[in-house]
Amino acid sequence: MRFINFLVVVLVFYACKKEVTEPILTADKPVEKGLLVLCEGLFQQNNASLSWVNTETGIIDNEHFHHKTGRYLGDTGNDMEIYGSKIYIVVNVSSTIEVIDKYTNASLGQINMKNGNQPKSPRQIKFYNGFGYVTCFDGFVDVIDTVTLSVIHRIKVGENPEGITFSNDKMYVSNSGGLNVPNVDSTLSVVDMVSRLEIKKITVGKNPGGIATDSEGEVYVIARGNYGSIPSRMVRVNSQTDEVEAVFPFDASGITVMDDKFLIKNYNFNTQSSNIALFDPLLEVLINTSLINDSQFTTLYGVFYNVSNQKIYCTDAMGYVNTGYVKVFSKEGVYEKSYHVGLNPNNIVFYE
Amino acid sequence: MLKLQLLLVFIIVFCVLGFTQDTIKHIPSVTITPLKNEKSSVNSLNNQLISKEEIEILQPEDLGVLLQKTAGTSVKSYGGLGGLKTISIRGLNSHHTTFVQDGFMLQNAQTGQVNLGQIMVDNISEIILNEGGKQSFLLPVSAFVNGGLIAINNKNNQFEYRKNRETYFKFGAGSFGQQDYYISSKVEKEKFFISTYAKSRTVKGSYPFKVVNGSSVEEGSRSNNDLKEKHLGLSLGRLLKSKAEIRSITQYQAIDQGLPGAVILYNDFSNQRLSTLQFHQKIDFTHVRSKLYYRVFSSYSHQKLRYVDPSFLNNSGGIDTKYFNDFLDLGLSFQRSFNKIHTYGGLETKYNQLRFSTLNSATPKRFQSLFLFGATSSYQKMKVDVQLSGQGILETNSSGEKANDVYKLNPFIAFDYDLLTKWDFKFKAWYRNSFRMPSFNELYYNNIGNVKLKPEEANQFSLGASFLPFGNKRGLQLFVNVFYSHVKNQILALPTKNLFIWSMQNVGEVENYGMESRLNYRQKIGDDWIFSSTLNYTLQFSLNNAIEDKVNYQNQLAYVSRHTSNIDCSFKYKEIGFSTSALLIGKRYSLNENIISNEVSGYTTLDAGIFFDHKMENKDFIRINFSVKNCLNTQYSYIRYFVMPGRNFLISLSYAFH
Repeated sequence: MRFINFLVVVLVFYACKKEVTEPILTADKPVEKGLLVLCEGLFQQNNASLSWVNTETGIIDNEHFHHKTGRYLGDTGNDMEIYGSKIYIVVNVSSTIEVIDKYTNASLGQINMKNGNQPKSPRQIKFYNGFGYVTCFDGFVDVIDTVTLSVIHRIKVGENPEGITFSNDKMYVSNSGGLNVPNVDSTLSVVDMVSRLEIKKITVGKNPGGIATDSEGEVYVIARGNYGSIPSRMVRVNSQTDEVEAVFPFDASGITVMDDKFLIKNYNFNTQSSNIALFDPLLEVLINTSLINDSQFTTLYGVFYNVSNQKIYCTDAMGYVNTGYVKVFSKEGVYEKSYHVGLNPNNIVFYE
Repeated sequence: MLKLQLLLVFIIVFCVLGFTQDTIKHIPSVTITPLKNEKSSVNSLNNQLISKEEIEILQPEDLGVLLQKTAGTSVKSYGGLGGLKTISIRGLNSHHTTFVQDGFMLQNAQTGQVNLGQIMVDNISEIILNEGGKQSFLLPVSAFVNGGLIAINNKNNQFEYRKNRETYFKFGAGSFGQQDYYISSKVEKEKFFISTYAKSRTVKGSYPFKVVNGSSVEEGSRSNNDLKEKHLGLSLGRLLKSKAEIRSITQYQAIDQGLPGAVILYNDFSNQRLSTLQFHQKIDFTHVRSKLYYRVFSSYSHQKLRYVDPSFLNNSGGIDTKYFNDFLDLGLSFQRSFNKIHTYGGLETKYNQLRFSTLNSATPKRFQSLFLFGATSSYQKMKVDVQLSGQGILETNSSGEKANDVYKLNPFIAFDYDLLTKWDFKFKAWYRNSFRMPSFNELYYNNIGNVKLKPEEANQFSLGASFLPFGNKRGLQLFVNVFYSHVKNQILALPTKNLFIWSMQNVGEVENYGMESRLNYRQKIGDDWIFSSTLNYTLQFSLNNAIEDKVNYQNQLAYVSRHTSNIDCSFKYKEIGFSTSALLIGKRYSLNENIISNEVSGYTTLDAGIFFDHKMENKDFIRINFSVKNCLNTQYSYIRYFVMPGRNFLISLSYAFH
């Protein structure tokens, strides 16, 4: 019986370990040189997180939001943008926007993104003339007052809107319709920024997603197709006429602006490989079809360009179910180093 | 509700009519026991038995809660009453577990697994968890060919070979708005039996919970967690001349429930619902001819699932999808004894089909034929059991691509060695090769399914010893098994095209090994005291063995606890009893990457109960049972953020008329 008693005691002790962990209270301490990485986490696991990478010491804190605020970020962190002295983090399934201080990363507030008690499922945020614009999967773009941190207006757009860009005093919103698979949306909503009303829908191809504006104000959007027989294509829209002017004959799944060029991310479903190409929007040609190739990644997820140090930062989601990496490349695509961060890193704010 | 009340009235009238007859008389000649072997209803190295008495003392909410009391198993629980619960045995995932109810297969080809949360326990007389061969030779072939078997028996659906008339009524009420009514009645005569049951249960389910949010603890109340269920059944049996019997079992079940999902931080909205309608018709014929026993059986099941998500953000204003599952099972099983060799086997044909209410959905149909031949033989202290089974599985899908046809032969071999007969000191070693087919969901479900999936294959080895110095009914019983299994082509859901598009893949390779130990002790003290206790402990390594998965190679699989234990004790003094039941689950990981941020803490729950039972002179029986579940008010979840109820109470009154 002694052994059994011992076993029981060991098991009780083992099973009753305290779950609550004390945070490192660093809310007031300013963050310095480094990378703030949004890690999306996984659906229904409440494990969206921020990783803080101190690029000088190499120390990485994968519980940065918890340590700064004393609580968790929530479920499925989709987007993070810096505007003024604040950083806005869009948390999709929790249906919140967390606002933190740019200098200390302490919490400044949480914007509730619900319609009544029904979540709006916010996806991305962009800023224009002092206001934040948030695509919500319920078919609206919410306008956020960046002073009061509240929703002041809703703009009706297409189905399950995702990406936003601005040009010529207009907002362009890609309507994915992703929750209607296989009958996805194919349009780009054009919203007049004075009246804040949708003035036009432009058909650009199935499942519009990533969107960007070039240095001449032209709008580029990725129509992602159906991941099978309909290929993904980048489409150019003239922001004066709001007409489609070009469909580029190469596969593309994401656009990142790098100075006056675009980094074009692509995932090939046949070869199951990723690469990053370099596109010149002025010449409208691919300058380099494989600036960074698949051998550098397990699962290429996000591509970012740091204007300050002129480096390319890519996030590797490692199969989407393992903690990921931020990988740093020179502007010429040469690998330099990597940082091990949280689950599904998808966005970076650079601190120089 | 009115219909149910009418039915209860009918049942009661039926029972009252029965009372006008004479009292219990035993039928002198016991004929056949088709679904039990001589020693099937006792604990052994192969079998873990949960008896009717234990079920009544524990007052479990459903079969899932009950099966947590077995060694070598992991019950994944996604919620309290009505919540999805699945069981995996010795590290093999839940799709490898076969369920047999009253000798008929329980099967759901759509999900490939049985939801233990939807199986009521009121009408269960015994549950046997069987690993490593021979629960009963006359079960369908399917019961022999998979990883593990759980057999559920209800004596009301069987001949007991004695004149009997019993009506049983039970009323229960518990925390979180639980109300439970159950009535059953059985009349058995010399040549026939008829039995029926009805159950109604409603639960509001809005239990309070706490979840950790960083350095603080948030409190909430479970919403959209209500449940309404109704169960009805009718069984008939007829003894024919020349030692033959025929049975018919008809069952109906209707469940409507909210699906609360995981607790999402900062967002407590949930309004998805699931309704389940099931109908089963089962018929069998069992015959004994000298040394030949055979059984012919057929069963038909129809299941309609309706999933509603009115807040899904699509252009049709939500999801309202119906799934229709049909299952037909026909078969023959036999056992035949020769001088020193006992043979058994059978043939079985199964047909499954699934229809979706949505357009452009697959319409899969699966035809499956199985054979089994086995033989056992004893020589002095050694016994050998050898089986060979074969399966052919053909599928069609008129709406698109279909899965590949599958043909397999699977062997099983077991050795028993009786070292000390007097103390039942035995050794047993066995090996089984088996596989499980991908479910219809895994093959065909919208964008997730993958028709190119291969079956998941398993090789299991087991070595065990039993020690029962005082026999099977009292004293000390000790069972220890060590096990090893290797699974290849494990089917996993993985994000493929992007994080939102997952697909089923044959990417996994798993190595399971560990030890399960069971210690039972039952002691009668004087004339009035009975003490019984059970201690189970399982050590289970369930490791990712896929070399190509460099991150998680040799990591413990998600949601498999390395340590699991339960300790149950009961004391009974004359007509009053007291029971305690503790469950200890070690830490798990929410993903296969064994890092701190994926850790899900272990927990301990403790249930306690007090009961009073009294047998009257006319053999009527009354029992009052009061239970406190989760006495310590442990806030826990087996699956991260699928919170379970804290302390709650249940009181029940049951009465058996004769």
